[in-house]
Amino acid sequence: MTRLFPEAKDYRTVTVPIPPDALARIEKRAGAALLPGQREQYQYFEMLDGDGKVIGHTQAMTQKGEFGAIEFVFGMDLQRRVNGLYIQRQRERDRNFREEDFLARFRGVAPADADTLADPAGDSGSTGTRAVTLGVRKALIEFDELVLKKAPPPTEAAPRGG
Amino acid sequence: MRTAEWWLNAAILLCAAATSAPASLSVGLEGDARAGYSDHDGADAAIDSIGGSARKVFADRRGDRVILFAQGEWADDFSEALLHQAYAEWKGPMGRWNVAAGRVPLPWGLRTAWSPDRLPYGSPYDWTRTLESDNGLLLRGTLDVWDYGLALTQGYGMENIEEFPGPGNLTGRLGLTPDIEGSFTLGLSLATGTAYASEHGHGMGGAMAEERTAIALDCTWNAGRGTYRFEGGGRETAERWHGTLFGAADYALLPKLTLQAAGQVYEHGSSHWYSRAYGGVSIPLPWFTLRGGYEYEKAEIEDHRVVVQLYRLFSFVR
Repeated sequence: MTRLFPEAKDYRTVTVPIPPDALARIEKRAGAALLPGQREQYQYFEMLDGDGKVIGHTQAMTQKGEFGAIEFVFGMDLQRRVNGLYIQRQRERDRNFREEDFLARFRGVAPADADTLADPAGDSGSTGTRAVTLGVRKALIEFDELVLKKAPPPTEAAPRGG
Repeated sequence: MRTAEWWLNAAILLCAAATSAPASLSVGLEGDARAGYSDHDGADAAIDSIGGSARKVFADRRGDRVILFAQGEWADDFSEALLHQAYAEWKGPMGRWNVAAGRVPLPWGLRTAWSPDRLPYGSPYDWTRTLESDNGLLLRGTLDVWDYGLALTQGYGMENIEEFPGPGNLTGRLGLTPDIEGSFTLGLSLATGTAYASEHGHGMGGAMAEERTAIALDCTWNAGRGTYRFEGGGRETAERWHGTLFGAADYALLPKLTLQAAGQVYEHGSSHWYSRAYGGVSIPLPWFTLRGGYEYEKAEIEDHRVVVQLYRLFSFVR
């Protein structure tokens, strides 16, 4: 998290329930089912400055790889655009999805782009690149459906997750 | 166990009382059934463990602040109730420092990020009687590539508390994780004081107090489809040092087939060496993980053992 937000002084865990209708919308938009254990609750982290003001968000995602789970973390700035992504744990044979060239191609992607987000590796993609792409797509759509669409008008205080 | 029962009740009540406050709750439930045959003990089958853990995080305006955590199990066909951990932790900014009080995990060796408890081979900590957790205070945190832990505890481990404050035990570990993926970690652990522990590593009766100084070096290497763990060190009791060495490897040979191997040697008595070696497989099934293999054990006598395990972990967030 400090790599994504070096200026952050702390973070706050936010857990949001996923109602059945929202789950259906998320899975339809993502084009894939959420994994077991990810279907009831959505969790993300608010990155905070010294005054407790939100300066961005981070999300930790897990997707199925060929040889087990691929865990990765990405951040979003206040414009809701991906500002960085790194792989946290994996044991894939393929190494392309861990390369900075591939990961950097997610920078700038926003929830509004999620529905059409395709594997940046294209035809040369692997299980790993497809898993990371799908994970980012799901997470951005969840953020859109469960956080942004529920957010109060800008003049009111932002909601604080529990 | 009386200790386990009152700690467990207190932890459950604490979590229950806090449920109305805004917070994030993570719950894990796990089951472990095993069957095996050994030359020495014959055939055996048991529910090795039914247990779980709960972690509740409370946030204030400046971030996550208080964490309540409890982990317990019924072991050996429900014959033992064990409370592994039950503590409240005050979290500092970005986790640079955190202070926990209660039955806390001890910062020692591979245990900091891994546990052999739910694996079908013998734990390296059984014979070395290294405490898994103890009652007291724990300071831990992460600073850049370094992580640290220092625990001042009673020394009773998971045994009954006989008196307060108890004989005392100090345990510390300094760890290094050079890269962000955590592909390699290195740690140096030190402990000194008195530890009450049975040969089974936790409250199975027959606990003995032992004054000791111990040191260990551990490393974990995640390399592609393999994960390799090592812990070696020594333990001084009665003015004599005993060496210990443990290694384990997991290698994903196929998408649904992981090879597992582990081995350990432990010096006990005068020039007596206890040793164990395991080789097996792990296969994820739709509802369980199936593990099984062969283990060779050499202590006063030799033993050959085959074991099959069904394991399941449920986890969810509330």
